[in-house]
Amino acid sequence: MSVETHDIYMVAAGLVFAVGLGGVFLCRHFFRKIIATKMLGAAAFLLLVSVSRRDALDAPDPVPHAMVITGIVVAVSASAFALALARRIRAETGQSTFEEGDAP
Amino acid sequence: MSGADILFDFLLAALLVLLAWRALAAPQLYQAAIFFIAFGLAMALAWTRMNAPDVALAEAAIGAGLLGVLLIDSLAAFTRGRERGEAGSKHCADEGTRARPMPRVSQAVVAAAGVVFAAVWVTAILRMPEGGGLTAIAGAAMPESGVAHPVTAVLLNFRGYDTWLEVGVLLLAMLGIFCAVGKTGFEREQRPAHIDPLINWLVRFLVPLMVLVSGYILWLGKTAPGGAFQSGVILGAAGILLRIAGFRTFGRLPVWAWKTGLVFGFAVFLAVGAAALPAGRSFLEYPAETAGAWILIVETACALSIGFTLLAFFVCLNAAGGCDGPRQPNRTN
Repeated sequence: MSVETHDIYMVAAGLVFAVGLGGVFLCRHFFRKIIATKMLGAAAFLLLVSVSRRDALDAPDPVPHAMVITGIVVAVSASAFALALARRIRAETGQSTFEEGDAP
Repeated sequence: MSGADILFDFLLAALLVLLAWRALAAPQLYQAAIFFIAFGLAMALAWTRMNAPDVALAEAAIGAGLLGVLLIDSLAAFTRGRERGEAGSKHCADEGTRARPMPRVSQAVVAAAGVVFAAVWVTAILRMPEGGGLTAIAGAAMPESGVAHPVTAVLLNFRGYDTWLEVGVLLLAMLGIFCAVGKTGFEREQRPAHIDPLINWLVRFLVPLMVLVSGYILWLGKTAPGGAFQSGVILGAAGILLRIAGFRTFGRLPVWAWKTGLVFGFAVFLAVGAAALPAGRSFLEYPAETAGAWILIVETACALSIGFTLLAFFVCLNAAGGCDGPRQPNRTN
């Protein structure tokens, strides 16, 4: 079985997803949680594009590509909104984590 | 596949995972932001390796570039309190986010979950069926799409609905940011312009160039990688550059102009989509002969609106401040 470019990135997508998932649960600062969520998205995009050569034709499958472009914009919008929320929470309570009684 | 290609892909994949891990584990938030930007750029490289140049452009511009700017801008808000000698000043920049040592049970649970996840993932990859994609179907429909580049055809014709709603998501995110941090960025007069001569020269040189490149990429989307999103982001970046450099170009805009810019793309897309209805076609269905022109109209409107929205993201977040933000006039401390 020969290794193809897309297979390598498919595995990488799994690892990045695992790292991101760990980050979402283990990191406490909002900033890192937002980055971790973005990593989850990036892993999903990697997977989606890496399956786009399943047809094994000359041209890559444009549908996953278009979906990923859409997805990147949506992910950035969501991240920007999350940053705004985190900053508001910080402004209101002085906290940057979900835990009570943390240092401001 | 030659050996060097495979080696490169292995290294890049390893780099992606390493950067992802470092972004979440680096001791300081600033490091996290920089690693994240590096991660975005490595992703862009990975997209080109996977023959997806459109995605690479979008990732480099939006995923790494724009979000990087927003993250670094927020960094100041998250660390501002420390300098005023508040209770948290003894902490590092990460402010109590250094994980406490995890209990042994949690470590075991995390490790077990990781192993199970990896096993499921590898099984899924090995059992992935060949074929079943939409390449052939999309290719067969290309003559009716009005453009020559398959990704643009999918984005703006075959799956136009997705793209329309995506512009809607941008608008929604903007509304959410309004609610969360207010729109002081649109109202507040910027500080008197004091622009460094070097930066002044650079910006005056770069911004027209960026507008030109943006238009070129928009036009290019018809036949080659490029299109509304990439073009819109470059416009937005030009606006952010002007704003950061201290130019008051956008500080003088009335609020209604901002609002119009934000809804423009969504509204034009909706109007073009609805224009198909009286002729008996379905929503967003263009006639094959004039599809190219309709797509160009929609793309231009979307690019302008996307650029404006991304600029507004930055302007709103930037004006929101941190723990001494303008939203707390009667905060006690």
